[in-house]
Amino acid sequence: MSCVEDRELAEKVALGDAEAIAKFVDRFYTPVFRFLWHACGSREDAEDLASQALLRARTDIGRFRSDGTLAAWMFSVARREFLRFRRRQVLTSLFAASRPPETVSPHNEDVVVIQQALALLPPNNRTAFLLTEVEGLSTAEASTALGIPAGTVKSRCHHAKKRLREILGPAYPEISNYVQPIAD
Amino acid sequence: MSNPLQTDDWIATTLRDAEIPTPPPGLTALMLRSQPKGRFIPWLAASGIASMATIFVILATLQPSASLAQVATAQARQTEYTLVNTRILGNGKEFRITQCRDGRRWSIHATTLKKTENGWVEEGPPVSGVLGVTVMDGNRTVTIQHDPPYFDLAEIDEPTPRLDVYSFDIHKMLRGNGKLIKVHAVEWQGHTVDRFEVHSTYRDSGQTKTIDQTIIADAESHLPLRVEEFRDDKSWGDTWEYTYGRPDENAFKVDIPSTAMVFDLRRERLDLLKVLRNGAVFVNFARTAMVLFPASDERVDPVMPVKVNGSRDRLQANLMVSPRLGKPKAMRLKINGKAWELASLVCRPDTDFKAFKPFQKERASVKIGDHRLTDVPVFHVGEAWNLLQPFLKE
Repeated sequence: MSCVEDRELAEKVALGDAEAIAKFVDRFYTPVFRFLWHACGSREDAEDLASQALLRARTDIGRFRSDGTLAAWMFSVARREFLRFRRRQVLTSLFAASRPPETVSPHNEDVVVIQQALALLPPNNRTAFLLTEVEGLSTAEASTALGIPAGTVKSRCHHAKKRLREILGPAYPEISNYVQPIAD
Repeated sequence: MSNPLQTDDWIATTLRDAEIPTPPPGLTALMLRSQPKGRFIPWLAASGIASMATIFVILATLQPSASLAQVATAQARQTEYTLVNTRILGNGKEFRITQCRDGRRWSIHATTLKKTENGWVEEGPPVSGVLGVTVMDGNRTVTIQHDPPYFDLAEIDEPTPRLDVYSFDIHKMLRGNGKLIKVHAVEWQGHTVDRFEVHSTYRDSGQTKTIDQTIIADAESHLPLRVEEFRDDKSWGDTWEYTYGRPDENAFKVDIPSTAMVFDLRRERLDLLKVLRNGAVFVNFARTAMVLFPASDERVDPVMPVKVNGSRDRLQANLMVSPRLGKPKAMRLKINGKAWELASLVCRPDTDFKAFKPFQKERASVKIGDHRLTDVPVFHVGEAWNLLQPFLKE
């Protein structure tokens, strides 16, 4: 989508155009949910956070500047929601009981394993990896969304990929030709 | 897939192709209702932020009332209390669970209440559910399920930490995005209390539903006294009543019915280690069997046919096991340094548990896919996971 179309969509959303808002939700709910789910590792939390991010985008749409893409701006909103969530998590974990594990669809088993590996990455590297590799943002867009220089986006992404290979190697032998000794 | 570039691509593709739910139906409507803020005005921020922050700090200092976080913290510090959770089922029945805690010791008693002309009375077994009692008396954890002729068993296990499954989770409310209403210093049953109400929505079966929560906390100690959580049209929900102080000693008494089958899981684990060679079968009373068998590196197909003692009549024909090696799943565990896999077998719904014959003997033979387990020991336990719990942690 071009910058002009982005600006038009943002203006219509700001004016409360129902069709534009529906289009905005259609376009951004899935990528934002996916980004937040993989970032925080919980579908339940991601569902709340994605809705919050879109609602916040609606109230803050006036702050969107058309020199960047709407996707980059939307992900910057989603990233701030993720950071707020992490701060709350730190506060609440002081008196938190362990949460029951979430039900995992068989189709998402690999996803859960990768998410467990993602959880071991520093959050900054994790978000850089998710935006560029999974959501397909350009380095420039990810740079806008994360508020960091493009070079930093690249290095964070590189470190994330390297670490993921190290972590997932033992779990997936086809990744690293790792063979776990099994006794008969 | 040893090429790192291909590996990165596989990771990204797996994450990208994961199942994503559709947007909540109410989201677009909510966005339509919310109003955008005006553009950010730098001069207003520059001049106003400092003074607003000062006012906020002063107001916060003057505000004597409790916050929900204070209530949660006060609750978490308590080690002696009785907590009664009443679950209102909406069909004229209530289910009551009483939790007691005295330091390390804890107990959970579950009963069903029945509505009579004289009000609600406790309905003992037999009931549609099970009368469940779990007591951790400091030395052991005893779980009793007494609803003969369906369930009548007791499991004795190592002392375990306190269970919080029936408690009210205030920190979850703090994470939520509901509308919070606070009313401070009001009278409630002779106490001066703070009242917190949270009205929010949640997703269930593709629909947005309402949830109304109320916490009544002592104004001085901030301890919660009563919590209510009602859903939808308020016909069903939960209430929690807190009583602080050391519970009655009877709460920690273990009274195993004389008719109950008693399983000492501590001893059974030792037996399991002694006899484990080719595998083992764990049978519980919910018509479910779990088979433990040596892990296979070569397995590719996760769906495998099952035969027990030469017949597959009474069992579900297929089962799922992890096809991958080393995957961090609970289905795979290590016992005495060896790798084992777990598969669960479920009886067909029309099979009465009394007719669950394949595993009624002390030993059984099971064929699961490419594995033939012959003469494996059969353990009759209340819950196979309880027996295997220590091995799952390895």
